[in-house]
Amino acid sequence: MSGKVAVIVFPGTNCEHDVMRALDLVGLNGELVWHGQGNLDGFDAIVIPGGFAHGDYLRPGAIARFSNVMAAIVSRASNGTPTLGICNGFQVLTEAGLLPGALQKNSGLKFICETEKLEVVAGSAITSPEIAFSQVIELPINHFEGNYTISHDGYEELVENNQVVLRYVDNPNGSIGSIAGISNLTGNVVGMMPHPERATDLLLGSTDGLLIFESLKLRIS
Amino acid sequence: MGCCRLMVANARHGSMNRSISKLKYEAVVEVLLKEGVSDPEGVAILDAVVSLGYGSVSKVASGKFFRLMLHAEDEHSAADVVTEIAERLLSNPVLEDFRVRDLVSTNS
Repeated sequence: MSGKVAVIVFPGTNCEHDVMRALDLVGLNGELVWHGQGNLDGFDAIVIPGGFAHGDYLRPGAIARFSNVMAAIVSRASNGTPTLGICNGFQVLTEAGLLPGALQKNSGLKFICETEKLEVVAGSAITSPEIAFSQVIELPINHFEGNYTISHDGYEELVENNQVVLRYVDNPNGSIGSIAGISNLTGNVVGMMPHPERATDLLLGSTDGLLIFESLKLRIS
Repeated sequence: MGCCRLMVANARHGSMNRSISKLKYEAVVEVLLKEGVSDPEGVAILDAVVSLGYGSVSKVASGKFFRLMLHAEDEHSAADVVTEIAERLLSNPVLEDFRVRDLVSTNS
């Protein structure tokens, strides 16, 4: 495996270069892929970075779902390719139906930009193998629509099937069950609101984000 | 002239769904957050409304409003198409409810 990672760029994506740098730091080869591309053959993993895909028009992720690249993402993700959506990328994955639930506006009135403590919950997800179960890591969040929402039954299913990947220690946005990140049933698709790519250098306050990308690397090599 | 333009538009629409559509309709889709879903915009507007002195107002719900113009065979199929679009794109069923209203024929 070459460790080649498709970093998807929609009009309005703005974290792609941070993700490219983080991938480079753990020895993965990121390649920027414009959303009009309909083919992801040859890539070992997919990352959908944060930002405001298509201006967040209608709802975050609602228009991105119809970009050419989404059909390829759905097909690869459904066949087991590790796929990570960060922040807006998480919103895109829920709108595309690859992950259950939705992200509603934060329960306070505010956009939140803070470093949060997170408990690692599911050891089977692509983002977890390098991190000890129930270890607490610190990653920044930066969002207005990060309040994870799902029906009560849906939440019970997530817990039962070990699909909760990260929980906030101090729930900042009202998410049900303090959820910060979830996976699909098979663990290869993960969405998380925190930004691991922004915690990859001590100058930025934390290197815990590297654990996420190193875990991803373990899954594809 | 207007008639020809209408036919071109109908042909284009017809190739999509194999029907020969003849009439023009307009409809409004209203999308509101479900009860219990966080609505900071509504809360902020309520604060402003109360600040203006309207203390009798106890809730403001913010939402979205879309006006669609379309060609359809009849009112029933126009309503079906608009409802389908509202379900598939304009609303997210986890967070929002929608209502199709003011469906009118705009043929003069």
